[in-house]
Amino acid sequence: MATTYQLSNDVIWPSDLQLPTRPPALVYLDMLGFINLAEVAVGRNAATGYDVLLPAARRARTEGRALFPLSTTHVIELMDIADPQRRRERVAIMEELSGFHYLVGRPEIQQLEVEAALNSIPGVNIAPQDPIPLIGPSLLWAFGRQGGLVTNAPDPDALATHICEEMGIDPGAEPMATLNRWAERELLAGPDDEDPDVRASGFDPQR
Amino acid sequence: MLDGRARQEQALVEELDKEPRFRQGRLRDVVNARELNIELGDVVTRAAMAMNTSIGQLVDHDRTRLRAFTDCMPSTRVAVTLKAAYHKNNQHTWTTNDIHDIDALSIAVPYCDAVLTDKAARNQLVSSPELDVFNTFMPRKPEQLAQWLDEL
Repeated sequence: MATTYQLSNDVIWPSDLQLPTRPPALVYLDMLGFINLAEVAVGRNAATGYDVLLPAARRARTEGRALFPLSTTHVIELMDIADPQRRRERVAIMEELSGFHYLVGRPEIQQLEVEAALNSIPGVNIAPQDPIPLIGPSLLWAFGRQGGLVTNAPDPDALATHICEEMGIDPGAEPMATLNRWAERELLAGPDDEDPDVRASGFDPQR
Repeated sequence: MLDGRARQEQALVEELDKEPRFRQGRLRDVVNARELNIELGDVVTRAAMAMNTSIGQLVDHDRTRLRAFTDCMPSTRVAVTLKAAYHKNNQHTWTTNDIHDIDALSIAVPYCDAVLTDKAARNQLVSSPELDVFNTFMPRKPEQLAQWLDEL
């Protein structure tokens, strides 16, 4: 062991960090976990055991017993996957299991934990702030931003329906939610190699 | 930025090679001090300055209290445990993947109910009694996580 002192079990949970109620249980899968689940989902070989984990994870998710939140690390590691098709396959399983819910970023948690730790010192009194949820419904949440599409249109769903139809997307029963999911999916998966704007910027997939 | 943080850890390897005694008994203190300085320095300094003081003054420059300060913060406790474990081995070459993993696990282990991660990180986490306080389920195999999920 790399320490000569005994750590106590006195951890101080930041009171300004709003923890979600359970259920659902929060289950963190690292990127390799999602990659292996994606491989099983599309019928390719994966590491042992993921063919068992995938249906169990799906059951737990659809039955509301578990949520598999994403993190900044997933976003960054996904960016390293050059093949857009592979990225989309991984994003599909990430969407299914996370619903595009993200853990708030480490800098935000560090801030709250430092304030809580300081407040435990006699004589220190840092005023509480509005609680910050541990889990947020957007990739941007993981990077300290609110995220989500915003409109000042008088009828957001009508606007969302119009946009979805223009893009060939089925708006479904909740068009704004559908459009938000589309946006989160695109944000996480990134552009295809043939995206005109990407090509215009000088990107060459052959290099 | 991740490259820079990996290089900082690699630089500590070289410093510890010059003073190998710190790998033996005071490694957690070394890593705690660097975590406080590098990762938390801005946050702690701003908060302390707002109170016209410093973290040293707040803990009366007492080593035990300073240890308690860093160890009480859940994500820092996990990050320091992992970094100290990797620094125990001077053959470990720090990469951005290490930084990714530590960033992710420092949040996931305290705040999630279960974590599925790679063998090396998992072995270190489950063999560190200071992390038992989080009571996080960390399966060795995906099938074990499947069973845990089915029993929820």
